[in-house]
Amino acid sequence: MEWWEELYDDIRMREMFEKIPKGRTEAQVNFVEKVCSLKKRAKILDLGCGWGRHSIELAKRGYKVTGLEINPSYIKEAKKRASSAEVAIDFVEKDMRKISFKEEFDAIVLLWNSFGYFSDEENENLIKNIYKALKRGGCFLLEIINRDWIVRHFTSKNWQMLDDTCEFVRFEIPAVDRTGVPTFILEERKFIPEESRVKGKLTYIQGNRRIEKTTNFRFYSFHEIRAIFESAGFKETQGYGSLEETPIELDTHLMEIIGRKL
Amino acid sequence: MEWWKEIFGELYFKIDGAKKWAHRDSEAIELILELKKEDAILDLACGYGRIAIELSKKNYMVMGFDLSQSFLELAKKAAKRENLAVQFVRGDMRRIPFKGRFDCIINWQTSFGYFEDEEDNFRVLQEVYWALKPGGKLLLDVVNRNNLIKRFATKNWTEREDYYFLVEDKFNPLTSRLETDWILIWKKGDVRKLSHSVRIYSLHEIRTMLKKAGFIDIKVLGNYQGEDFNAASSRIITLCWRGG
Repeated sequence: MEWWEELYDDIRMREMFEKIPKGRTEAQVNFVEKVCSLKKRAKILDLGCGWGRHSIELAKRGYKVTGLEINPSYIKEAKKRASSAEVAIDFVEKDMRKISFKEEFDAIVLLWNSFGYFSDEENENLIKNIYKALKRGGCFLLEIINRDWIVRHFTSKNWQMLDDTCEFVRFEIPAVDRTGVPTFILEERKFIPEESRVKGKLTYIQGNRRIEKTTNFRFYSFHEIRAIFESAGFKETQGYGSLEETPIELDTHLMEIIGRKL
Repeated sequence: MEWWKEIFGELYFKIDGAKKWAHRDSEAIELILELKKEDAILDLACGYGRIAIELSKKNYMVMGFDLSQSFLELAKKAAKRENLAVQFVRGDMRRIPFKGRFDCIINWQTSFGYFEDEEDNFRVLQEVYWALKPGGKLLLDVVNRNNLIKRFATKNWTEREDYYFLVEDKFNPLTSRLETDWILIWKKGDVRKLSHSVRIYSLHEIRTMLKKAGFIDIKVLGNYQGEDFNAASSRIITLCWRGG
């Protein structure tokens, strides 16, 4: 199994969901609508759709959405959520490296740093395949963490304590077991300047039980992404430092990068 | 919250990373204070006797003073093991029961700024002043606020032999206090939490308090290697005198 298949379990997803500020999903989708000038019934591909946070919001607004995700338990949860939101979404369980769509979508989104998991070559190939999957006039939005931010704000250690506030997911280790011992996630990371990667190790601890997982993210600066976009065929690459369309700066955390297929 | 009554005990002793620095610290103290064998020394907030015992091994006359009964018991045991004649006295540093008694008083490694009320923290310096002989000196070692706010990290952890040691620091800019949680995850399964809160000072604040307490000739070093103080220094190590 690849590291991202091990890493993204239900605990991880729940923990990430908790960090999302209220209104963030709607604001992201507003942004997609604006920068991609989406037409009614536009066909949209949401890559690495997870629990369908964006897919569902897009579908609510009347777009025809395909959500692609490798993790079967995430797909299951996304389907559940889509059905309670009463929207029809085409969820596909697939490795995003293997997409082979040809001029099918008006817009493709790859949000919340769901990029940088693979080898440099595979990452660049993915961008090429995204270009192929877009119709002419289509638009691609990539939202990723800025490498410059990583360098300037790097911390090698972090930890969290999980409490039992979750109602809807199944845990490999329940957040709090019957004796009331909480689960801790201890994280250590190393920045590898030769590869521009952050390699990490997560240790999940509960009582005397332990699970270890690894991470290996490639981080990109804007100029690198622009070069990758252009070599894939994208034109008019734009980058913003926020959904409010501020410029990218060294201290920008999440970059919103837009490529167009003319 | 009177956290200092709660956390200084056997568990703290077990996890205290400063244990291994006892020798280094006592050497630094000896040098900075230019100690003489006939000096009467008070180690204020001596804890489990880390510094007092080292100084006593070097044949200095030291008294250790602390509020924690269990720390003092550990200190007495350690002194007995080493066959050292260190006197350990229990008390609250806001009320030091000695007047004009010591040549040197040591308050080492952030044993200052515990009290929530600023008046209480100041009172410690006032009490130190009166406990010193005229011409006696105080060595006070605290964290440098300017350095802390620059290198501030909220969470960290380390793995030790039989437990994980997790730290969460929260700096409260309204009170200039560092609120710290330590979480100990024992590998056999238990979890314990220890919390503390310390007032963090900039040099100008320390100077103002020392002057107000009556101290003169305030000298400042910036780390345990004895280098001069600058804004980036990790510590504020002040050496000052009760006027003759």
